[in-house]
Amino acid sequence: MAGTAVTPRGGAALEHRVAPEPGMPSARRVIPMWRAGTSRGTTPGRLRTMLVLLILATLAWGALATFTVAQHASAAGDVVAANEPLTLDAQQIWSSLSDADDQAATAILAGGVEPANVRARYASDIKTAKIAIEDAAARGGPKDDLQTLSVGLSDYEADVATALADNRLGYPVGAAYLRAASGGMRAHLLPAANHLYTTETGRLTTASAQATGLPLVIVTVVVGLALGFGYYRASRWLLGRTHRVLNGGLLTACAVGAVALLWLIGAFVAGRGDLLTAQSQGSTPVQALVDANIAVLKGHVDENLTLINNTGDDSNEDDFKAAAAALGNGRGGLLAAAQRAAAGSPAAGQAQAAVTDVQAWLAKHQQVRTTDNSGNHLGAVDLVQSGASGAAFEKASLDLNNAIQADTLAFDANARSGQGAFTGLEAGMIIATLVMAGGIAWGLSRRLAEYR
Amino acid sequence: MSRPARSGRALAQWVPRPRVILATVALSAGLAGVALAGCAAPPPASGPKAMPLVKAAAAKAAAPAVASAPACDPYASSLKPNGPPSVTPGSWMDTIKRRGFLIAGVDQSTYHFGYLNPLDRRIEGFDIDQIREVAGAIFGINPTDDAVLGKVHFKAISDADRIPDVSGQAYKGVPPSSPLVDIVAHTMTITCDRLKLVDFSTVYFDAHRKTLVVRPPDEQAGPTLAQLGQRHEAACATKGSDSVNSIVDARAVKVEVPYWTDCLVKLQQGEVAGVVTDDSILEGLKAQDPNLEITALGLTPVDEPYGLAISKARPEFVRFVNAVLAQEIASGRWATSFRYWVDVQGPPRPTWKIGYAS
Repeated sequence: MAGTAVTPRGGAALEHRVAPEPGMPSARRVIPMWRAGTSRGTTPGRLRTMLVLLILATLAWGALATFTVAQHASAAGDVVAANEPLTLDAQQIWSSLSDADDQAATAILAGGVEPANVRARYASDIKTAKIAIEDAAARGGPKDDLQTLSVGLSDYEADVATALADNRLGYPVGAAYLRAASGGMRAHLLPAANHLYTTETGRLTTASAQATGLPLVIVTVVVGLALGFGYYRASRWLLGRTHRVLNGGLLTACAVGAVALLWLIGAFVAGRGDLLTAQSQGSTPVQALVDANIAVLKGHVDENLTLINNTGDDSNEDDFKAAAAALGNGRGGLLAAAQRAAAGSPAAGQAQAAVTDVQAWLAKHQQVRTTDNSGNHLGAVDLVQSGASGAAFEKASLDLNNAIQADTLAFDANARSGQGAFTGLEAGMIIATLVMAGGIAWGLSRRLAEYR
Repeated sequence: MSRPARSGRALAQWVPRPRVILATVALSAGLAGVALAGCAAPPPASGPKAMPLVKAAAAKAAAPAVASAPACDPYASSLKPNGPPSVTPGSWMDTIKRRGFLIAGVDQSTYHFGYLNPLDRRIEGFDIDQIREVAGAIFGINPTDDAVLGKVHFKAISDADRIPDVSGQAYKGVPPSSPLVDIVAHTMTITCDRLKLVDFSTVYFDAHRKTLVVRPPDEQAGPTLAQLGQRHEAACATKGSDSVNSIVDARAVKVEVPYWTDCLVKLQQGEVAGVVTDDSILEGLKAQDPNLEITALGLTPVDEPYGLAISKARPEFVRFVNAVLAQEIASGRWATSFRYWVDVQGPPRPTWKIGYAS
């Protein structure tokens, strides 16, 4: 660096001649007087070189620091401003479509005029999904998935509307329209929503990893420390040459550089901590809880469809069993994963309750099947609609949604705080660099002036 | 629509229960009856292809089992009753009576035969009325009294589950299970193949395979299945049903779905041009959409005589059920139920001969 470039010749006497070059030992080149002040061998010459090198090194480090800060600030900004909202949209699309599917099945199972609360929840699910699809499109979400979703959703709505109309007339074809609607939902809409959600959570994780990544910051800090060492060697050299203990300009550059470096490290440590907390107490448990919630909704739809098709243990019952197996018992599966992920997050308590409730609901399912299989179809329908099984499902669903909401808020707060840590840092780095370079130029040029 | 309004429903108040279904019946007025009683095509277009049900049945009584193997006669393969129905000690009827309820395997999506009425969430239809008769005879309750429903557990089962559920035997890929139901009333055709696995009651309904199409906008008759085949159009039937064979025979494109109502969805959405199955089931579909029309197959006619299926291990129960059916016909309740659910101008008693094998 600047210091090391100067030191090899640091002890040479003041002279206007350069040392003989190895290839021409006898030659003693006379340096013309007009070039004396610029010669690299002279103290002013070295001083000049040092001045230029120190300024260039300072500017280079400033550029590096500014780039690093810009990278991390922009990644943190992406997490908060782009990836998080898109992921939320995707999650909302996926969850509300699953819930709409469930509500439509519940409405048909109720027979005749669907219960007002079921209709309201279905309408609100569809509305939420539509707004989220529009928002995701406006935020530049993947076009293919969003197109599948918006086209498929209108087909789905039309089929459900026909199903409800036929059901009101007392026509059994209503249940067939619901089967068609639910089939389309499961074949096209939910996979697209799932793909969108997976893609967006993937992007969120990538952006988060960029914002919390270490390599660039470490390089910036190491280069900064090296620059500081350069300042130190430069002032030692000046001490030897000019017998001035302190150089004000160099001292200013050193101090400002130290402050800038500390700010950078402090901001990064704080921001990274917040973003990591946003992950561990926010996005990670939310993803696990969402996975569990979707499996619960899917299982509930299957439970309803088994009763709607009313052909005993059919393929929907198999699907229910698959969903129940995926949710698992307390030790493995989506429930255990959600509980583990949510441990220590604000939703820990609700996640714990949700796990217990979901298991209670799954346990009630056997009662529903036994009642239905013994020929008491209406008894089974009542169990699911308003009885013990229905109540257990409502409770589980509520707890899961509360848990998701709590950890989503935790994610948002921490991610915003993480982004806030980078506020002003970029401008600060630029200003600090300019002040440092200015200080060096001022301090060294004053020494240089003493040779004039 | 110039068809007779189905006021027979209002007249036939043989069951004192609220008829919420009447509202929907107004839409489908008279649809079911016309084809079964008179002609398969709508009145303006009743062509020579449409064979009147009564005549067809009479012809069959003379030369039965057109579509069946000559080895058996579905119209005369059941067991003869030992006098009027009585619950003898140690019989299966006795077991049911001590249990407190009859378990019946039924359909729940075939309008007017066995379906879950979404309005009152009750399973009802022509098939269900037969179950009411059997339960009424076992428990000594008037079958027209709703109290009889308290003595029946209706288990809705799929087409493929009918034989395994009543016999406990494996059938067409459905694994065997212990018998889950005492009796099956599920638009179930008596065939020689099935007779090897289960016993059937005497024929309580005589259906014929037909085609359901969207009525053409002009006054022309709708296409038969054979004509659909010539146009390479698609026709729908439930997976594994015998009707699929007719679609293949006609060289139409076959579309298979789980339930008959799924076929109606496909027909309404224009994905298929026709639905092929028993006219009894098609009438139920047509009753849900007045823009449809039932036409002939345009192929060799296929008879579908319906019987109540019972395990082969319970011959005394088969004889009992046949006694119940004979009593139902003699009392006029069979005709009342037929006129209520199927055709307001239905015959006073079955038009086919009730025969027994032994």
